[in-house]
Amino acid sequence: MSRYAMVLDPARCVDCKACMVACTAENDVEVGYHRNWVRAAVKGSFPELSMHIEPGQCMHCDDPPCVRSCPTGASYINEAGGIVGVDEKKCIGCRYCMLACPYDARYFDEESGIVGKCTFCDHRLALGQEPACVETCPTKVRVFGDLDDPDSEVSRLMRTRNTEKRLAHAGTAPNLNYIID
Amino acid sequence: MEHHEWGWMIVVYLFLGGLGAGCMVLSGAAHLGRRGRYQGIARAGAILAPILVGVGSGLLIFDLGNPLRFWRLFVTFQPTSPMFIGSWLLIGFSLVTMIYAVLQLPPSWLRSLAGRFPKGSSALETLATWNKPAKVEVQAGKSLERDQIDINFPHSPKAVRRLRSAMAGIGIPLGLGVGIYTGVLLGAIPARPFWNTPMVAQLFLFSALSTAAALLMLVTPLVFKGDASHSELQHRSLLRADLIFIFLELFIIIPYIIHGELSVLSAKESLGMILGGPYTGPFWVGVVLIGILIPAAVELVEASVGIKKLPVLLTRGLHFVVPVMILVGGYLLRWVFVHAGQDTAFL
Ligand code: SF4
Ligand code: SF4
Repeated sequence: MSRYAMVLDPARCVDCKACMVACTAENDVEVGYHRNWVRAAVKGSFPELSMHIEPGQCMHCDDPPCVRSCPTGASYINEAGGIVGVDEKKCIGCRYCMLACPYDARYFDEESGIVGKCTFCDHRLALGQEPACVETCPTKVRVFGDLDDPDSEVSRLMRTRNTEKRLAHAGTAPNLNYIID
Repeated sequence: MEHHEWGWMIVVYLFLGGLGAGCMVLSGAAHLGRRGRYQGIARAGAILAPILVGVGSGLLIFDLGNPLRFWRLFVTFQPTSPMFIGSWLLIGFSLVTMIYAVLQLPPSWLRSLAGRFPKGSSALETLATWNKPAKVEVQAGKSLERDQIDINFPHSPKAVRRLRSAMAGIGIPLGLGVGIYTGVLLGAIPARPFWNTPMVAQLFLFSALSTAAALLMLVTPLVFKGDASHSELQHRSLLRADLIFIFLELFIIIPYIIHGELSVLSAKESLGMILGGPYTGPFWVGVVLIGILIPAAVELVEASVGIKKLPVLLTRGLHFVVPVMILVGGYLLRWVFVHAGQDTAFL
């Protein structure tokens, strides 16, 4: 079993958006839509808030409201690895999952009438490669790996660095971890 | 306003769904409650319920990215999804209300249909006989004896009478279910703090009942050709029922605001949408003033001191304008919630 996760170091992000370009090309994302982003993020908790720029994508939550709300079972969580996906054949395009996601991580492709999102590039993982955004990033903001493997880089970073989850209080148990020290 | 995934079709769907559900509840209650007394309400509600919910559901399907795949809702089991549960509710509701509506269709309609379709004319004629309601004499100011109106469809065979009443009896909980579901669909989404309170389901349900009562005030006279005091009796009962629903709505809106104000930052921020934010006008003027407060005031006066002293034309005008205001307010309630909810995010 694996448990895929990411550790990101927002301090390294230079806002070049190479990850967005790489993702769009790798996954043939329709023009005008994006599966990942570089957004302004709020750090800390009220009233000590600070703003900075950071990349992100679907958090591949352990308890994903998008999957729970999907009426057709098109949105699913892959037991092996915990990747949250959308079955293109089952999706009816109701967009309920989009409203349920606290991270706005999904988009509706008007052309095909179905919802799209980050897949952690599972087609690349199958070939032993890393997700395109991870490979592309010039400053190595993202580290991708398996939390069930104690020797993986992500596990090591989780042990040695202070990390934080975005909107942890939304209760979805996200799997993107942001370094804060 | 940013781009919203859910637009006018969902707004209309939630409105018509609630309206149809409310019509079924009121019709069922009218049918079962006081035999024959409220036959106009029972009939009008029965005819409207499947039509309104049908049109609403049609819009919901049409709004899908892949409308032709809607059957996928029914080949799976997703008990955690309110939309999945709601889809089955809508199927059950449609089936029951369609049978019920057939058994409530006015004999005059059935006869004219029989004239046009000679092939099915004997079946239609039979149905017309079954659907002939009991003659109820209502004398102004006099209450009815129970045994005067014990059976409201005396020409139906016993089995048909039972079926009709059974459909009314099942239709009421189904209608309440659909009415609640239109609110739960939004309320069950924690990512949208404006929606994420159990009060939305209650508010939508009572609004559904109130708008249905308003619509029935307008439509009942069209399908009921009884004597004047019988019509008057039905109007008054709708009015009284609506007063209850309207006050229940008010009792929910007030705690909704208080609860939100005392809640976490996200909920407080989202309330800003109707407290000084972009939806303030539509909410307070449209939903609260036009849809609730003014109708409540007029209905309260009419129900207590009566408006008989007013000129006939003015009474008629009020009997038209007030229900329309309730319907407009009910529509705006859905509009405000669907859009304001999508403008809010979890903080
Ligand atoms: S981030 Fe959103 S889309 Fe991704 S798993 Fe969590 S809830 Fe679902
Ligand atoms: S849009 Fe597709 S994936 Fe999302 S909830 Fe609807 S059917 Fe499921």
